[in-house]
Amino acid sequence: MILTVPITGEFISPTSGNVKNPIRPISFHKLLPEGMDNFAWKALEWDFAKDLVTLEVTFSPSGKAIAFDAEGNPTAWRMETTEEFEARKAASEKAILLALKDKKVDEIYAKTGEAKLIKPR
Amino acid sequence: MTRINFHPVAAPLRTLSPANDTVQAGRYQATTLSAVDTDLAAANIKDGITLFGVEGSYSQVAAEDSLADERSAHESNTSGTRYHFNQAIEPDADFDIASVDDTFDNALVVGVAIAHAFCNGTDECLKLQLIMDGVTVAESPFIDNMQLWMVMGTKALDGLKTCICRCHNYGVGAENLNVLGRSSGAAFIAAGIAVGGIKVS
Repeated sequence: MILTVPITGEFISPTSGNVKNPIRPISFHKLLPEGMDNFAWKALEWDFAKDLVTLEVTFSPSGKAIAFDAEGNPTAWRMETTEEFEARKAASEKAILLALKDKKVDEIYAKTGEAKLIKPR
Repeated sequence: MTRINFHPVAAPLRTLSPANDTVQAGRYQATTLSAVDTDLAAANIKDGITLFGVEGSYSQVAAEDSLADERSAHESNTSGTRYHFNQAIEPDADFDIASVDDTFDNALVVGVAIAHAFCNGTDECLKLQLIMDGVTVAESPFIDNMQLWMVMGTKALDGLKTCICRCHNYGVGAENLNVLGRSSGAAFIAAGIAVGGIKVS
């Protein structure tokens, strides 16, 4: 799915970000119910005039640890079935839309608790 | 008898200006448009386009700019027959798995960050990120099972820039990232970053 979300982070020049506080989309997965926040994204287009970025959000089957060694480290995982994955993906996409739909940018910043983009003066 | 003489009034002598495309009424001395504006030249006009008789020859050419890659330099340990490193990452903190510095010439750069990894805990909170010149351009899902995690992104870069393969902890507690190498033989870590640029000139 394609989304446009606000940006956070800090510029250190007109085109470069601070590696300790990189320019990035706000962590909107914080707005989602647990279990619906597991997805990848990549930036498609940055709009630094409006402090927005358009993302492509993608999903892939996730795994749960089911066996552990003596130290408690996982040694085997159970992957989602196709049906489980498709159900989670559909529910997650719906949750993302509900979390962002008709929300003002300031409201999204406030709900995620993230700062607005810092630009050089 | 009074004779009336008519003296024709000459139209004003004007010159064309390269600053605008207005041609005012008046007289002009013979010239060529390319003399008026030297930018009217074949090299400035797209190949296949002809302007005022000047046939364009300009075309953009894509060329390789720069390629660089770096494998994770973190020391590996052995656990049984497994080579790996285990790194605790505090909440809302980053761990840089690998980074590369390279000089680009106004290029569109593609970056890839990879890590063969899993999270030691059962909480879903670690994500792999690709940082290009201080901009997070892509992020993985939660590292919730052992597999080759890969993220890919693009950014226009110019000059000496740093790109990073990074892991971020979104959780509320410290979490361990376990990055694997090969199961026997010389130890190395299966994680790193690669970037490659294309420039158009």
